[in-house]
Amino acid sequence: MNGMTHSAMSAYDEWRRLKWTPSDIVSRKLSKTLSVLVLALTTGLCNLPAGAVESDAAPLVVQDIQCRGNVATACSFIRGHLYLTPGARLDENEVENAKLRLSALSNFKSVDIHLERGTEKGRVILVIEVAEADPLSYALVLGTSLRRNPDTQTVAARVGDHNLWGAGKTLDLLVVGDLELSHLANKEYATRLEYFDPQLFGSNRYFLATGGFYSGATTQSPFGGGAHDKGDGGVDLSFGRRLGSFSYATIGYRYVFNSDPNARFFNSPRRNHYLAFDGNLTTLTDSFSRVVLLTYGRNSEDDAAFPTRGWMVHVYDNWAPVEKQHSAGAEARITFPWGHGSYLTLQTRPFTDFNAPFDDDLGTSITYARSISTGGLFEGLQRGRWYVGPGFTVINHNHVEIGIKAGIRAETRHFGLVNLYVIGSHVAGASD
Amino acid sequence: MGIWAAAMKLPAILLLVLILAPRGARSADLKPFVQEHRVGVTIENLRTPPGLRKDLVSGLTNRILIRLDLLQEGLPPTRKVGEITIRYDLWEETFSMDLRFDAALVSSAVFRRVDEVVSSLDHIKIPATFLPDPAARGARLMLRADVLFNPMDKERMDEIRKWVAQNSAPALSDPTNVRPGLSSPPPASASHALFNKIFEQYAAGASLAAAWQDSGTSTRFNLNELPAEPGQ
Repeated sequence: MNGMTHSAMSAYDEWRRLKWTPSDIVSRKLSKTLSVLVLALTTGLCNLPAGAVESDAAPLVVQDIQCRGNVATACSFIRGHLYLTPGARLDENEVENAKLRLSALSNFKSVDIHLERGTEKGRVILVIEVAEADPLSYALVLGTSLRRNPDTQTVAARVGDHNLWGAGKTLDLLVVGDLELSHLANKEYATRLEYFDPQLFGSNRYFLATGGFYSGATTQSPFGGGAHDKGDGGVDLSFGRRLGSFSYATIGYRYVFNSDPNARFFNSPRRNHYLAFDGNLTTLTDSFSRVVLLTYGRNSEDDAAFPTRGWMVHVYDNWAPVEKQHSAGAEARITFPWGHGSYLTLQTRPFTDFNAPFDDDLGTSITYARSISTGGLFEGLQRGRWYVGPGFTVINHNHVEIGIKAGIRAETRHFGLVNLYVIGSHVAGASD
Repeated sequence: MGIWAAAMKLPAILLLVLILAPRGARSADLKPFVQEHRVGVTIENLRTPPGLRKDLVSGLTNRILIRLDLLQEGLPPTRKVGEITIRYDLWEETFSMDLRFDAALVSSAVFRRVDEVVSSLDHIKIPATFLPDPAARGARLMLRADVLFNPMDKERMDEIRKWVAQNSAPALSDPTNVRPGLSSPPPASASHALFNKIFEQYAAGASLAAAWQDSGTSTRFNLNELPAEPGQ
């Protein structure tokens, strides 16, 4: 809470711990009654200057609704968030609600609503004044992964334009780099440029995503013989439909150029890993050359980066018709408040082996997250959380990886969304 | 260990860079007084929202909620709730300001200039409203105030949050948002920060939330030590 000092809070808590007796209740009630009487007698004690007069507030009628400051955003879109029409009686609660609805959008840097005089007394022009936000968004990740040799340092970045051509389309560039900590010559990178239309042909139901990706890796043979470079890429296209408020289904196709047909049978370090999109999730994974992508899911989480409640389930099938292979899986997660400013997230991904490119995790985990107060020392943060939690992954049905992940995720004023984490694990039964 | 150090150095440096220079935060000053055996308080140096002057001339009603607690040794806190409403008359070009305490109108005034309104908010005198328990005479007392600008109750926050949840899904900016990691968040904006600020309080279980609030605590005092104000 702004302005509340720690000592004040402690003192307050100390007072709250004090006991309450029946005689206290009687005296409190008596005290309240007397207070009301005294208040009535002490009218005018507030430090208001002499000359104060009674005020009268007549109801106002909305004559017109206007938008100011919008360049790329249509006024009809802005007005659509205000459930008032010209001729209606001014409802200030609704005006406040509209301001919050508009503030919840990322389109605007600021939203202000004020009244101006209409053609006659009692009639007002309602002006919605907006400052459009910079459509560019940034995300940055530094992750140290000490799990399943080799240990790696991950650096990932993302820059996206969320209002392409002023039409609400998205263009995103993703870059992920992995550096092997024990063998710095071994490195891998993956890139992806993605276009997303959240409202295909103006529809609120259909969306489209398409992208191109390229990955490269340099590996040094432990037996000498120099470095080996490899690299290839591909394209994908997916159509999606939203079902109800929170569900979706997608169908798409991925084509990987020059993919080694035997890549699936290589050990993981020998495979190329792509920033592959399945219609809803972008993951760092290997892939057949020609893949049909099918997904279905539901996500009611209330915030993408800082969920406070809600759950999601995502099922997918990557079908390679040439090889007659299916790679199917599911992921589920639920988040709920756990005390003041704290949240608990339970997650499971029982069948799959992909990595989240921007936020590696153990497949099944429980994570405790706590909000970081953004005042004082953390003035540079819009909002943030630290988090920690154990998890495990079943590997090839016969080994269990047990580990823990801890980190800080923050929405910063100048660097966008930032995620710093460390993840470490031990594989039970493994020699290392 | 050298590799370890290198690996951890970058996140550590970045974290330091993220934490920008802190700004000192002060809180409101509470100056209690006694009047006919009752305790009143003057709230001074209240931190007001940066856009207060603009809000005051918006033509819309500005509401300031004051939650005042008397903390008395050996007793639970006694709470009084007051509300200041300020409204600008677009035609008369005057500001009307009402002060209500426990739903009773305490005072009403009209100002000509916005400076006068701001000045009066810098020195809010709450009438003598608390009657300390006579049995606890001589005990140490303390006053605490929470001041919320244009607060919003939980019911309305529920409605707004539901609207946002339902309306953000069909206009999902990025389908990769399924993952709670760094999945292309929408750009951070000041307006979104306002919403987040209110929503954080809502998520924390607050019955009332406000984009701007201040609070303050008086020093501990004894009734005998307080300046006496003349009675009415």
